[in-house]
Amino acid sequence: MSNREFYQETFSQVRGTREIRWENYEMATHRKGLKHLLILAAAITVIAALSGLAVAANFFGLRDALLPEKGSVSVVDEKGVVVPGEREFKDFISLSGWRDTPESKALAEWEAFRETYDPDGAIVREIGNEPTGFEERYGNYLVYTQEMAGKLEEIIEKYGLSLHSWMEVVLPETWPIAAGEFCGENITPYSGYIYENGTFRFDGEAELEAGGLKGYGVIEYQFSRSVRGTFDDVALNIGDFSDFEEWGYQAADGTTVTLGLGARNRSLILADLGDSFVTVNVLTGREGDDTFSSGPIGREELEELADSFRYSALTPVREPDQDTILAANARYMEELQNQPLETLPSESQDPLYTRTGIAASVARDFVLLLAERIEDGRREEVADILVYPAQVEVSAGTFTVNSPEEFLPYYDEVIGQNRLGLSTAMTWELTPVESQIFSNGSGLASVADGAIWFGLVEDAVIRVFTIQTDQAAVRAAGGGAITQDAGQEESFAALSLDEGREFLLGLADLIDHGERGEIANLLAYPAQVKTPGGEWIANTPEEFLAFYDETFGAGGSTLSADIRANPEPVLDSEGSLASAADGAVWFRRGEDGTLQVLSLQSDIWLWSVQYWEAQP
Amino acid sequence: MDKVCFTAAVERYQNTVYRTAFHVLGSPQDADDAVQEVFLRLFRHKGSFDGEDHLRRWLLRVTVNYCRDILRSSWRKRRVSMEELPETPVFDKQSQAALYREVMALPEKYRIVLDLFYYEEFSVQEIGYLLDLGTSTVTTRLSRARQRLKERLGEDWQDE
Repeated sequence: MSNREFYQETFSQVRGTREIRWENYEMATHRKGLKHLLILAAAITVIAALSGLAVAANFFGLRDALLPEKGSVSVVDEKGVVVPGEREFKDFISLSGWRDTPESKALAEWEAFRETYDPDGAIVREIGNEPTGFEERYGNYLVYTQEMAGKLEEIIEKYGLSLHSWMEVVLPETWPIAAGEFCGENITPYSGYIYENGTFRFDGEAELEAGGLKGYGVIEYQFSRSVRGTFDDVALNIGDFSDFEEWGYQAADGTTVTLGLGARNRSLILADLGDSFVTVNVLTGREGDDTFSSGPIGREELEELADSFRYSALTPVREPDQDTILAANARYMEELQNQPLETLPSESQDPLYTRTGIAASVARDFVLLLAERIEDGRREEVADILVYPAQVEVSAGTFTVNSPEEFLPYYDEVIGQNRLGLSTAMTWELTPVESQIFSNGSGLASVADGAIWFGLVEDAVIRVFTIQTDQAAVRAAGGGAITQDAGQEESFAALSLDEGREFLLGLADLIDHGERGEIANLLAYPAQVKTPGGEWIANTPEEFLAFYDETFGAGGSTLSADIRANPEPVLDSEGSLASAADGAVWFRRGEDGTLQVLSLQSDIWLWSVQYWEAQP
Repeated sequence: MDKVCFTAAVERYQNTVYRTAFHVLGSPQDADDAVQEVFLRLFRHKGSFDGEDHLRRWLLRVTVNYCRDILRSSWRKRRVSMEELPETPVFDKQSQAALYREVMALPEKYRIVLDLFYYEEFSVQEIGYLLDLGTSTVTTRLSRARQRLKERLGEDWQDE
């Protein structure tokens, strides 16, 4: 057996556990813009986790909603890790109604077909990365062959059903417009999605006052309303049907619902509203669920949750208006984006963060980690986190090093011989409440009485700019070296967010309009140009124009779209360098005072243009 | 990218992305997160791919860059993960467990080169392109990693 075969045989057994589904990303994408708002941060974390669970469990149902055949799912061990290659059979329920309805019968037939069709994924692999032609009519269903399309048509014709034609994301405050006032005051819906016929689903939370949850905590749930007459291919894995204690209950608005209290960490609320069917997948049960809920629930809590929805507001079904939903979503996003970010507590209460962009707790962790590495003599790991190019000052003179490898020969003289002194000075005064890390307004932080200076070189990346002892030093070249004599003035005004944003949007305009000459003039030179065809150095705008068609001409619109989607620049700690669009663009103020682009990268890495710093 | 293509890409390359992320990050949990993030980027990707190979390289490039960002930015998380031993899969043979152990004991920069060379079967030139490294650097790292594996695994790892 060759080494390659040995390696492949071994690491083919290393597999992840996460299930990736298109549907989850559809919701997650529309939530992305909310991430920076503290008020929603916790909720979004929960949503992400819920989505993960929904994938893993794919859950809902009771006896009259059970699909006739159990469904196969991956086996999960005690730690929640999927056991590769092992499947087990679980009870599934239809979200479309009781089992004898046309919708649920259709779902059962489709599931039975799907269970045996393309079981090893060979067909979908053969189709590869090309459009199938089935997207327009079957875009809301997993249909990728004519045989699947034919089967689906056969089923919906047999049961007199139609197919979903469009789906739209609904943001939290848009639900009343999209589906009516069906949530009680203790109910918080997160974003979800709605179909053209009024079928919708979302994750949410509810504050309860009943039983053991009184006064604290929330219950997490997933809410589904399926409207009759349209085929819906969603089924829910409920594990073992016999785990549920079931009873009928008249909810606060007079609607009769079926409640199922799970023996473990799931419960159900089912309501047949005639023209639609409601399923609430409650993410806790008698055992509780650490991830999704405050604790276990009993009958009282489940009944209170059932009382929290106004089912009668959901019937008769009112078909949603897509334009109205889109307009309401846009208003909601605008409101969120106008909220000032200054309210973030980390910025107002942490002076080190304000001055350096590094939270005090993060700085402490960094210092401890660096001290540990220095003390242990982990030379390469220390060298890896220095800023390059750097100047090394040792007894033999001053030298420039451009990489960790070039620095390592000097390591012992600069750091190694002071290993214990440095690490002790970094840590001995460091306590959880009173840090000896400080910043003098330069944008960098210092520890060990000025022996070590560190800071952000790009968003959230910490690097060491200076390590200096009585005998030797290594300092970032190009103005990065900081001493204790550095000025005390704040110096963040070099590049403002507004200026950066305006520059980026202007750049996007130039790209869209193919203003090749102006774009070339914005780049810093010499510039390294990388394309699939090779790598070159352009020393002037004129030289760069020769590569324009291979770079911006080949993929500029995607880049400009990315910039427009996220035109907020991220400034470095000194306000002298900025990035945007997830690092696709880097720019700074040049010596002549104008802004210049240091690097641009196409989103699929097909090409890049990068300032090529002169090598010593 | 439409749903069918996306699903096919997940089917075909999820393990590739996971394995590569695991080689870089050394943590099953972080590698799972990387899989989720990389396919999110694929989901958002508006361009097309010039065939399967292009898609595969794109995914690997995004994976490597995402993982590097994680290693660079998340000091707290990284510190924790260094202190915790990753969960070890159960292997069919003792020699496989030994190889896994020795590979994961190597620094990240050697692990990723091993993965791309031995598992994904890229040439050193291709690895250099994917990792933004010179060919000589890739060769050096590969050579050192091989040497280390030979030292630790003895006859289970052949001379090359």
